[in-house]
Amino acid sequence: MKLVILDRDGVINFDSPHFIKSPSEWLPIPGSLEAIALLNQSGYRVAIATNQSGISRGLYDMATLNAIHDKMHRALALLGGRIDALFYCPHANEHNCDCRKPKSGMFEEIASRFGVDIHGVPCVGDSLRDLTAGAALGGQPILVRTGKGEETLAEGGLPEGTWVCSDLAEAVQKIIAEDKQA
Amino acid sequence: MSSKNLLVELFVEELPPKALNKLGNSFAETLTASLKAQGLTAESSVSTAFATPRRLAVHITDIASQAADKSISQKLMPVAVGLDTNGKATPALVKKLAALGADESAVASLKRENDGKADILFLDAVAKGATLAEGLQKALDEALAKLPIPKVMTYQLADGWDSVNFVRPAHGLIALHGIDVIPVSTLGLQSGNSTQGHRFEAAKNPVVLTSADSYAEQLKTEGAVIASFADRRAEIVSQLQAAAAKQGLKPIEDDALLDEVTALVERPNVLLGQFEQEFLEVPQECLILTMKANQKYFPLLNSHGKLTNKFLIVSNISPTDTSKVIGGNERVVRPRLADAKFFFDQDRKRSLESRVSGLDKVVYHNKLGSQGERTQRVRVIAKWVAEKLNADPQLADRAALLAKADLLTDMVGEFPELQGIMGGYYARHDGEKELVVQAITDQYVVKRDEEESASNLVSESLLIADRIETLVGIWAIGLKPTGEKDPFALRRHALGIIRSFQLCHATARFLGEPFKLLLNDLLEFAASTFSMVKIEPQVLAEISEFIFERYRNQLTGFYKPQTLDAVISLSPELHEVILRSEAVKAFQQITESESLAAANKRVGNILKKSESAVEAKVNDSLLQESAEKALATALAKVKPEADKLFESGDYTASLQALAALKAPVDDFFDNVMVNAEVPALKANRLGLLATLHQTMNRVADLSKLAS
Repeated sequence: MKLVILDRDGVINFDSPHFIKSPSEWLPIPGSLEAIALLNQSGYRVAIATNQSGISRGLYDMATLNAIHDKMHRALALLGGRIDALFYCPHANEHNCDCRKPKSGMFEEIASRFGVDIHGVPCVGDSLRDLTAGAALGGQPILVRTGKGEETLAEGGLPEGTWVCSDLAEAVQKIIAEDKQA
Repeated sequence: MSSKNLLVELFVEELPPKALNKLGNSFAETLTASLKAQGLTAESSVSTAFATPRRLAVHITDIASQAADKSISQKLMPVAVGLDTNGKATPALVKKLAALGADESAVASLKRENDGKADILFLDAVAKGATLAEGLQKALDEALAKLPIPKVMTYQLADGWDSVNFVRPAHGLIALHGIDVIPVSTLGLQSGNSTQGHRFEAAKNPVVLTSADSYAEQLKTEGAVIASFADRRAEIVSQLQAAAAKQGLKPIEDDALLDEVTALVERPNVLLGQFEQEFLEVPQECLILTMKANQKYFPLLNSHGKLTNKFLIVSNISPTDTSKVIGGNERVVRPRLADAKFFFDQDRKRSLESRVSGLDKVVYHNKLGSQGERTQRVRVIAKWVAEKLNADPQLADRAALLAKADLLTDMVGEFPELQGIMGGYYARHDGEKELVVQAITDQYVVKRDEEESASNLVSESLLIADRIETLVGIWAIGLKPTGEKDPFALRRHALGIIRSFQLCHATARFLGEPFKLLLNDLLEFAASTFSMVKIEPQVLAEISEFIFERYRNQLTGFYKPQTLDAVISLSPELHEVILRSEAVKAFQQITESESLAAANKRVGNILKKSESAVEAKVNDSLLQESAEKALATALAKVKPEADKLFESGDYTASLQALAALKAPVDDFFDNVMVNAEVPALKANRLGLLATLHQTMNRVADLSKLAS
């Protein structure tokens, strides 16, 4: 089975330093939803692993997070696309959980859900912690320049073999092109 | 009056497992509802249902032994009928009162009320509250009558004379109120306070209940039975998890199987069994299916989701030496697995391609020919679709050729659920291209789960071809869906087509490729592949309308009805509905939209009323009023701009460009008389409006947005 793991904020939708706290603040980056649709049509399962510490901080509640995700699913459904699984970590840093990226907990959950090995699975993110979480399990880290991507790139220290793409649209085209070569 | 907890149990022979949970819940719910209706429950009453293979029971707290009396007002008859002119009771009234247990002395106390037509006599009476024995008898009869029994059996009672109809023979009845037995009877049984525990493992037999509240506890300790369905299910889950974890594996997740197994045991004992490694050569779907469906086992998977040769058995008994139980289970599953292996080996001796000719002998529909003929049609259509989608037409043709061939394999004959999946395995074994293998597998993956989509464009071509062939053929022979009836799932096929168009269009746009698949062309091409029936253009128009109607329904959650009306009434291409709806949605956000929509509606009405056809042409020299000149000037500027944006596919910007027309249009209607006396002026003004109308309504019929 072919699988791709995506970060949410700054990859699929525009990020905000003040968190995405309501459905109206969730706005897709142009081309990102179409890119997911292309993954669907190319036989990929698409999973999301996203840190949502805003829950622990009380910035928004579960109902709101669900409403935000509902908006995302609906926007994608209009294109005939879909997200196959969505994993989020509601904890804050001080909770010291196993799921908050850069830890790999969510990626392990995803692997177990789909019964696959993360080795070689493209893991797309805009911050270092997204990339290390996936790379720790042997995933293929892909940095996008959207969201915090430029800052992340400037700070350096990316996992070895990280691909750098301008956005999710380019990342997806590269993923599919590499797959065809293999 | 005392309020105590009530327990009712009906003890029976093994109930049908697939219906058990439903039977248990229905029994508890109906009985509780009936007691409540009779005033025997309290606000605080809590009802708990129990169901095991051998018993249906319910425990309800705070049940009164006697319902409170209720005053009621009994309607008798109109005053004019009941009393004579002297105010004395008529014979009719006397008779009615006698029937209710009153006599003439009550006449003076009768109440009068007007029901809007006449004065009516009412008798105030007190309805005596039911005793628990009466109330429970009624509730019990009702609960049994309303059980959703899948199939009734008839059996003889112990007297050897009477027979009753029930789901399975019943052998015991408990009705306990606190510690008191409430005398009720049903199915030839009198209520008591004793029941039986586990068929083989009860510590005591019978189990004599000390009170209504000790039911679950006594059944557990003395009867070796977990009476609650939910508790037993949870116990099975925890034992399955523990046993699997010990092996470093996990059981397959299957709620339906879990429910069924919960309905087969009274006290679960999960055991580990295994089979020979060699069977793992058979596709795991076959092995999992046979273990689940025939044996009710839980196959164990490794961390990569691969089947292992171990499985879990949920046994009803817990002997100290479990080897006999395990051995027995392993012995019965072996021939099943051997069958699967035999089918798999035999099937692979012939290629899928060599089986295709056999489809000529399989009937698809007497008016539409054999599966072989259908395959030929789907091939032609799939190839055509593949060309439109820039997929490989030869591979689409190949996938369509082989798509149904696995119908004729032994494995699919034995396990019809594996259709498609087996086709994929055999195609891979035959050395078919991977895209073809995926296309064959996808057909049924998509059918089973609507969320799924085709995993490549060859697969998408096959899917679209298969669906459109079904829609056109079935519709043409007069089997279109009516009301609730849709035996060929045409609604689902229509939704599938829509989904495919959306997805293919989104990806084509993303890749900057033109989208060449048009619904009407597709319908016409599909129709041309039928030779046995002639497909009338009317049929295709109906199917197109049917698909758009489904789409409209689907989109009502996303757009306002007027938005969809405005877009769909112009019959756009299927894949453009969303783009145009988004554009209209954005247009509705701008301040000018409302008055432009109203103006558009007005223009439409004026043009409709015109006796002769109006040509959308303006002769500048005939423009007189400054307002009409201003409109013509504005239009001359906006029209090319809006048209250009429209042609480039930027519908949102095309509609936004119309905003500049608001002021001149308003001005025009304020100052210009369209129906001028001079015919040439009038014709020119109509021509101006027609041009305006054309310009505005390319993306959507904006008049539909007017309130």
